[in-house]
Amino acid sequence: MEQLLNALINGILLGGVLALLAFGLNLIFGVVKIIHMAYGQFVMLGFYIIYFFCATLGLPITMSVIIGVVIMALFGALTQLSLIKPLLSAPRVNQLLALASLIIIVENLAMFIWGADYRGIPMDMPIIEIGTVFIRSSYLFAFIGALAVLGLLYLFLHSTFTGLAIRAVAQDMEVAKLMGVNPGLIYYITLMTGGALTGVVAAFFVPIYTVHPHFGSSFTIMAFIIVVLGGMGNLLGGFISAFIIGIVTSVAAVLTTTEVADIVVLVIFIMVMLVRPQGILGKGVAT
Amino acid sequence: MLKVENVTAFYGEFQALSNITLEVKAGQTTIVLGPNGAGKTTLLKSICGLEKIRSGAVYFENQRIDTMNTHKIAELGIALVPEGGRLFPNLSVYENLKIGAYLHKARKNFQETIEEIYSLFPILKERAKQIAGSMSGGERQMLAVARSLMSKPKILILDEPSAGLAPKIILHMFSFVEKIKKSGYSILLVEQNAMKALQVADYAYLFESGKIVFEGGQEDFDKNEYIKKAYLGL
Repeated sequence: MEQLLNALINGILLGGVLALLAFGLNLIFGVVKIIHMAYGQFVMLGFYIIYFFCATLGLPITMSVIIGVVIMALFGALTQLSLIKPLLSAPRVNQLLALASLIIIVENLAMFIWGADYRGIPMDMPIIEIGTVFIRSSYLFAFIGALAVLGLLYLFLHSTFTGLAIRAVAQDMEVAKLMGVNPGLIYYITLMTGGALTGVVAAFFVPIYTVHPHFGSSFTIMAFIIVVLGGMGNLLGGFISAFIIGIVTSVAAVLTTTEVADIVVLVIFIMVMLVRPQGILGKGVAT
Repeated sequence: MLKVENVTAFYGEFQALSNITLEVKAGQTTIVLGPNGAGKTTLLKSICGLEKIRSGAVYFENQRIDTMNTHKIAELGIALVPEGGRLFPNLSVYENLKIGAYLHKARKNFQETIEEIYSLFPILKERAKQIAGSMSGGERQMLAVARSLMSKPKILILDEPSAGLAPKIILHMFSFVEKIKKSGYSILLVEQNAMKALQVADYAYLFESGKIVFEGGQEDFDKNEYIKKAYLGL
């Protein structure tokens, strides 16, 4: 019973971080209608960049994180400029392959620069004990941080003209143009927001994980599953499904083993897809 | 104010406009009549840069606009209300109005303009928080017009505002058009509902198969029995 309670709480904490992870991928899909296949790899790259400035150059961790987030935002803009923009009217499969190629580029780049070793920034994050519940403060920190960032994103999308324009482009690009919105600019802002978010997620991962060149792939898949389960492009759906995945992963791991937990998650995912292929909150439109 | 000169445009392989020349004068309501497929919507899309024209030119206040991007054309003060309104369905009524004021000039006066719009369309104030997609057809059309007015355009272009609306709502719609006209807007209105549209028109063009087959004021249409019978069903 205590074990289950522990698993549930840790699942909720995990869900918050996953919600932030999936948000950027979801936003990019919703606005630009493109699947950023290398999203998890960008998180990996962000982790390395923070590691480089903090552990290699010896800068304070907060400054390293800020630099990491800015650089990742620029990588987002670069992705838009060099890959997405030229392929906007290309067939879907070409877009998908081009973005998939980013996986190889980013992973090999990391391998070339940092090698295959596991690297991390040692941090002293205590375990908090409340009665019989044990919470790792690194998870709690990531959870609170992720929710705070999601809150800021919500405000940005709902109360600024730029945020509103992003949502308008996602819903009807032609009419958004008639309102004077420049979709090219909105795409850049979206990719930069998504890029910055990979840096933010990386920052929250720093106290939890060590990084290696293939660190990103499982997060790409995780983010993709969350986005599809929630309904592609539906931000609220993604938020809900992140918590479902987080809790199921955590509770199933306690009841069985971590390996079986992954299977349970995927079985639930496939079953939902069979019943509701458009996802939990999806509208069932192919775009 | 707005001049379309010798414009030819294609819709896919199909020639939708051939050698169209027309003009909207400042402060006037100009209408384009014609059956489905006459090229009316293509004309409006060409003006707003949503379709590229094959030959000819479009001028707005003596500036050539047919080579410009849609959002740049919007900045000049041209606002199109697309057929069916095309609201952003998942945004609230208020948010739809707010995005209407996206242009830099319009943002500064946003609070003022929205109060004006609310006094013109009080129901939009009551429904401010409602999701646009959940409104009735007539309300949506009203909101679509209001959204375009939020940018304080110099010319308002309406694509079939009466399409799909109940007869009673159509009357409402046209009384709105009249109201907007009285407050000094230049209007270009495309309609299938010839009788209603002619009542608000200063000048009218009749399209068929991408060509202008007749043009003139209300009286000219009134006098021409053949045009009335053959095209307008009057």
